[in-house]
Amino acid sequence: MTRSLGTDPPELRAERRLRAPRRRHGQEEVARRRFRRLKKELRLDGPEAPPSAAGPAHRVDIVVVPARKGYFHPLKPADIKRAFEFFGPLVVYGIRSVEMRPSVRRSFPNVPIARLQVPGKVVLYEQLQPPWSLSDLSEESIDRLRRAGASVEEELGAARVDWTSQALKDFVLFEGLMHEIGHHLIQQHTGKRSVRVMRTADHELRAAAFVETCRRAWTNAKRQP
Amino acid sequence: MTRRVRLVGDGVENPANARALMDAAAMFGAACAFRDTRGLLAAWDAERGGELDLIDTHNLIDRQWPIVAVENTPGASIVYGATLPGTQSSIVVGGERLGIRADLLRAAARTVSIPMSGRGVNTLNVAAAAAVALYYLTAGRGLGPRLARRPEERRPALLLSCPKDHVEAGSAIRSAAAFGWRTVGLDDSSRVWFGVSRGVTAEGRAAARSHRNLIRVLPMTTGSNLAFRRIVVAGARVDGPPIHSVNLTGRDTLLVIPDEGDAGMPSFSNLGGSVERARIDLSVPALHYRYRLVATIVIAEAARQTGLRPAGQPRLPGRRGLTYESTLSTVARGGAEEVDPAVLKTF
Repeated sequence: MTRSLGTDPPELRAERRLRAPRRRHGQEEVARRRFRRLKKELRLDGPEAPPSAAGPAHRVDIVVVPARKGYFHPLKPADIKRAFEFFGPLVVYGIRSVEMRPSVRRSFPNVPIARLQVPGKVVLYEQLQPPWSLSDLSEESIDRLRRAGASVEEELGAARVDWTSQALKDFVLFEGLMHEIGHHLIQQHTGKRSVRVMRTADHELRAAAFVETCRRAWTNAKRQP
Repeated sequence: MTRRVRLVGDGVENPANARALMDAAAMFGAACAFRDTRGLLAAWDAERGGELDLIDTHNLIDRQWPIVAVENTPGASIVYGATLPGTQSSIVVGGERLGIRADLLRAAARTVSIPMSGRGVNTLNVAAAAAVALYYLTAGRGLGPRLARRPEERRPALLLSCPKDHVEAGSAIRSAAAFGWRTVGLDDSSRVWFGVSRGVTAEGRAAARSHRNLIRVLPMTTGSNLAFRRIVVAGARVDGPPIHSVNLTGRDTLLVIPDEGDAGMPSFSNLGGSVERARIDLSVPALHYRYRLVATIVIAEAARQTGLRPAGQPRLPGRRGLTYESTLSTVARGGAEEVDPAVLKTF
């Protein structure tokens, strides 16, 4: 069975393309080796074409728009870079930018955390300084906050949500950035990057599963000395 | 210079709307009369509504009282910034279904329109429209329209606080939808909207034009922090500067319209953010308070400050492409409901 470069495992493909994003696929090392072997078998002679310019390595732009008064960005660019280094090329491949922006009321009355604009743009929204007082939160959201380490006190129709600095940072990292990257990976590795490839509910489930995997890996790495 | 204004309802059919029109006129110290072309007098209950002042066509088309027609006709000028043509004028509003008749439109010295950007619902209740016209023509101090490329990005969130009547609440919701709001919060402490009897539900939803109205009505409470940076409480009896001098716009602004009827107003100190107050200048604010009239004037002023899209400019397309969003979701209770027209006929 032959295997083309397009069906490389995503980890290998991501790593290779991050290293040389502008190199044509026919100029990959494996392709060039195969072509040399074919020429030898067919006894064809001639100069080999020079490899095309590989271009600079892939870089994710991190844009920070200052938060408004009373709000802040829990993650710093260094935190995002550290996470990218930890999770490796797979999560970075295809991401064009991560932008930290003031929140918008598009999602009112829901509280926005992050958004993925396909293909490859992740927006992380500013968050209110804790403690938060949020009204009419759904049970699912309260569970999500508790899982992320927040202390949630439920009152009549409202919830008081308090965070430690690290818990809020992790919340935005996983429920915001990695959740959207989970969506991104589904789109990126199907080849149909700007077309909805599955039902939104399934998309969300897979993104949530990806977040859990990442969270486990992150926690385990922190535990190890 | 003292201006004399009379409000004329042309072809109004519903006695309840006629009573609301009389209240709108009373709020601005104007006289109110009706040209009865569609059987209003027959349906009028003098004991309940008082004396009905009728006017005939001959007396209405009087050069001493030039007519200002409030109608969304082509070529009508925008009510924001419009002025009255003389020291005394007749402001004419049309009936619920057919509007102002052609003979009055032809005789009108001026025609003004109330610009609305709502989808589904793009008309106001006749009394609410009259209140907006009276406010801008008599008390609005020539406040001109503003232009904005993306007005929806400056539109504040809206909270209708404790309306005490379901029809008044429904009319206010309809006004919000007509001026372009897609979501409105409702503090239903007076129990007029959510979980009420079938009859009350049907009347309220009919006033809100729920069968065409795409607005979402979310239950909210004024006792919790809603995470808005600015809270602006606006009304007729609120102690504060005039509403046109207060900025009502902004994504992080919550505009609260309390019902200032008989009972006292709730405290808004728990809503979070800085609380500002704004007052509608009315000639006779103490008389005939009606929630829908005050709410519609406040919403119209917020819409005026938010801005109008320049004429001829097409609606900008939404953000293109596929997006996924991670949010903390709130409980999706309430919402606009569809009413079966067969049910409405029973009321």
